[in-house]
Amino acid sequence: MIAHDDVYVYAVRSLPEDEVAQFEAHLAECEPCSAELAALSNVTAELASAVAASPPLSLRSAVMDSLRNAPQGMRRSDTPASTTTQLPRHAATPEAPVVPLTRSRQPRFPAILAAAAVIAALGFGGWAWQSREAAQQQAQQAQAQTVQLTSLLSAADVKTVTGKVTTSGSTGTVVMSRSQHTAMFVATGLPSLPAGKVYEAWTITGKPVPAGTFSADTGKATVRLPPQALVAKAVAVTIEPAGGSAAPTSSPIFAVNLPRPA
Amino acid sequence: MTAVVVSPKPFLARIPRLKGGHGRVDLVRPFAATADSVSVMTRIAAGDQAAFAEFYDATSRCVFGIVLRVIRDRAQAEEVTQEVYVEAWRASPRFDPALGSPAAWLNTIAHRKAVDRVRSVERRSLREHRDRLDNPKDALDTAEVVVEADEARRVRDALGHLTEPQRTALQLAYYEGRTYREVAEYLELPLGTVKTRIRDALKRLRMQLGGVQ
Repeated sequence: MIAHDDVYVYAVRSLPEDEVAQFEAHLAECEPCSAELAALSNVTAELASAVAASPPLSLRSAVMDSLRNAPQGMRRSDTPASTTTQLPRHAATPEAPVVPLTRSRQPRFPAILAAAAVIAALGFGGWAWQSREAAQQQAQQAQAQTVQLTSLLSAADVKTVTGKVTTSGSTGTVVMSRSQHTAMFVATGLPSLPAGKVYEAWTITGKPVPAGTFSADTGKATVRLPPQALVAKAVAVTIEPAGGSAAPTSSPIFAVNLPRPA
Repeated sequence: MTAVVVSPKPFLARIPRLKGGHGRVDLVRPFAATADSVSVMTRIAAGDQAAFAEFYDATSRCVFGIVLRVIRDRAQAEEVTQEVYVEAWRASPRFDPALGSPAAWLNTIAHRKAVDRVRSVERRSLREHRDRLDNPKDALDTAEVVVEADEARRVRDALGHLTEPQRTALQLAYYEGRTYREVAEYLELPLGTVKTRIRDALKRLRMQLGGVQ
């Protein structure tokens, strides 16, 4: 009985991770729960429609472009009977955000070597190792970012643009792949900021558009830039009050022009 | 700045108001499993990108809306929305119309990915998490405005038929992406009570929205 009731909590994705597997095992065996879940998906869809919001127009082309790297799975009739249910399951979600765009790619050895070289040059191998010794959250974040970066650097069309960080003389690099729809900013040797200040990245085409804030507690930063970076003319970083600004309030400490889209 | 446990206040304060409001929003209602939408899925499963573009146009406002509502950060919401569509494209051959409409299927993917993103961010970076709570930013305003739009009235009215405790539990669970254990903690209620409220809320909503297959 208790398992049956969990279908409601599961339908709003409110079961904690450790209870999900248990419920999904039950769900696989329980016809009524599967039927109930299908019916509930229409209710939650209504809840979603109540908060509809327009995505930026650029997202449409980004989505359509990304289909090229996303081969489709097997047909239903080809799949084993045990996986016939189509409702997405908790366990199916990959951890790193870039994985869905790259999972299908076979690693290409020269690119991996290049990736290793760039990571070594930027000091990220060592950084990931150190972080693992630090707080757990930091380690997890570092790993995820390293995975993202490695994956990005293995893209066939990866481009890197390096510039000076004016406040420290160290370098920052924008790494981007349009086929992977990913752009990241990586830097080492960033001065740590006083309380109440953050670094804020900007993408610039006309007016600078906020591209995320970050801190650099250990002097290092790996920041995934929003999709608009892929079509921007430049990327810059400024120092802003905590929480970030809508428009830059100080001069850039880093700025590079990006290669034109092919 | 050292507190990790989140007090109930910020969450409750950010729940959209559900009464009154005017305005026009062009809310596509793609959630019926019409023969059309199912045939679009068949074309998509066969690799038809034009069909997928159609599907995107019909659903992107709902997908982006719920992702933004849960994540509350536009840049991340764009990223996750893109992931949602890539997953839908990949998984389309396994779509089964017997188990729900295409749009309900897509929405389930969207909500799952948004909640997973929020939880993984919280796991990885408590500081970011706190920032997110301290700076609800404009994402919230967007969602609130839209929730009050006329076209959302049907859902709003249905939510209005819930008891206040049911509504609160459902909103924390669905729109805020909280686990029922967290909801129980915030509201200082027994776990069983929260589960019951979520269940009753969904059952009543389904009845109110009636006829939605």
